[in-house]
Amino acid sequence: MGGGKGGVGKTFLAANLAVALARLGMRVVAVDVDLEGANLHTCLGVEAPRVSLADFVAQREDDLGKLMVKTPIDRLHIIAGTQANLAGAQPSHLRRIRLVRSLRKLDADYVIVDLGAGMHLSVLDYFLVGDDGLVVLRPEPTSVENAYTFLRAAFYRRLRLAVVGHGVRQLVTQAMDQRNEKGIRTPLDLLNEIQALDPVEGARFVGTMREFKPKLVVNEVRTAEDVKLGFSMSSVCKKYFGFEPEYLGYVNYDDIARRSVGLRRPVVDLSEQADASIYLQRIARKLLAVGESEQRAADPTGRGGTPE
Amino acid sequence: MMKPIEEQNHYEILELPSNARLEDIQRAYPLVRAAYEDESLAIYSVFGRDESEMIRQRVDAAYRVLIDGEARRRYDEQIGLAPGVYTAQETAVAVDSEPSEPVVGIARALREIDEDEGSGDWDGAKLRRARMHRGIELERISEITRINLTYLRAIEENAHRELPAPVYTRGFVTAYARTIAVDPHRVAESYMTKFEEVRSDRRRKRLLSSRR
Repeated sequence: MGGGKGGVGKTFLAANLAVALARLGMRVVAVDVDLEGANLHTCLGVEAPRVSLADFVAQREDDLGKLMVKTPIDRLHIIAGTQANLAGAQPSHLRRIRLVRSLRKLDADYVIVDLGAGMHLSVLDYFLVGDDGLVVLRPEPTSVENAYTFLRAAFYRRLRLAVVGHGVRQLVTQAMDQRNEKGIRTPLDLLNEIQALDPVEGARFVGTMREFKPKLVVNEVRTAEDVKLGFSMSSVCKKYFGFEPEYLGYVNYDDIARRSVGLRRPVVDLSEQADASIYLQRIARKLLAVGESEQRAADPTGRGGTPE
Repeated sequence: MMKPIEEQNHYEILELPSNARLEDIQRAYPLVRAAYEDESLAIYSVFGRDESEMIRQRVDAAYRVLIDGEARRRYDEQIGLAPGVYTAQETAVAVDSEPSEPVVGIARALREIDEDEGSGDWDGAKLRRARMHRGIELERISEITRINLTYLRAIEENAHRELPAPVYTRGFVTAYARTIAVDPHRVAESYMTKFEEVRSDRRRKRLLSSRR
């Protein structure tokens, strides 16, 4: 769950999707990796828990699973963020890698990770580790711009991890700077450069691009025009970047949703029939459907593995 | 798979599979076109005026060819696609057959039917959700149906008190539903059941209070 700047509703969405999925019978863990403004627990109506991700970061606890705390919702646990840590300790590089691995090993059907704002490498890595990377935005220019910047950064980060050759890596690093000397503006420019350097890496690039399937959610829509924004952005991404995010859905601007935040209860739980809840449940069902079809594709025998 | 816009064929420009049905093309066109309008929020910080103008022209050109059965056949031949039959009748028959290409992007989004539209009662909130999902503003419905915006809003907000007598309200709801292409009969039946319930409740209460 990412989306660049704060205030677009990442935490609101993370909390509500977690609840919606739990209500659909999934075992869910919501993890707050926001290092600066952790408050997912508040959205879920949990008092700041004794244990949190801070214990993992400070190496007091190595087993991420032991940091799970119950929530008022059945089947939903939370690993709270590091808000207690005023010293502002950032996890070391090794610790981050360990966290990313541990997230994937948590015993749950769905792990929902609420990312911090911004585009720090750690944020991008948490974003990329997920099966479904959700980018949340609001229908306004600043938020749209942030979403594109975030998508671009996430794609280049992923690409940089995917390519092998040193020269190509350097090229990707150069391209990450929008005002690079080589005049690489779009991924297509970059591809042309890479192709010229090494066709095998070029093929790897195309593969990475095809697999990069972030998902868009537009929050606080008020008009039909706002609803279309997701389609439009998906189209623009395809034409400009070459990868195509999926428009997962939208959530309307809803007074009950606003009130739910004040009451510290996810609106999906507070009022199932509220307009916002219906949209949120729709997104949750769609996520479930995506998970199932991907599982079927990965496991054609139909026995099923552990969805993540 | 990754081609500059100038080299993309008409199907790629409209983000449709090459066996797209006529109705898919007709529905995809305004959506894609809208993304590249000058005032579109989606191009902000990505495409400048010249680029979006160029894309719009290509989108229009693609649409002109693909909706014309004969022109489309010639175009397919030209880009080396197997010939297809695209008259309205033929495509209507082809609905049942499986598409030979995976339906992606906009085409898939367009085919998705909201799960909550299939069953349950139709109230104002559900009508609004259906309208928003189809990308139709309330003002547009007012223009088409010539129904006062105030009444349309009252329908969506289930503000039954602000709506006129049942016979008129039924007409309004039917026209609304028809404009957003949902079954007008089913919607009106469902909406009016609740409307009448609330009305008779109110009348009963009024009666009771006047007797006291």
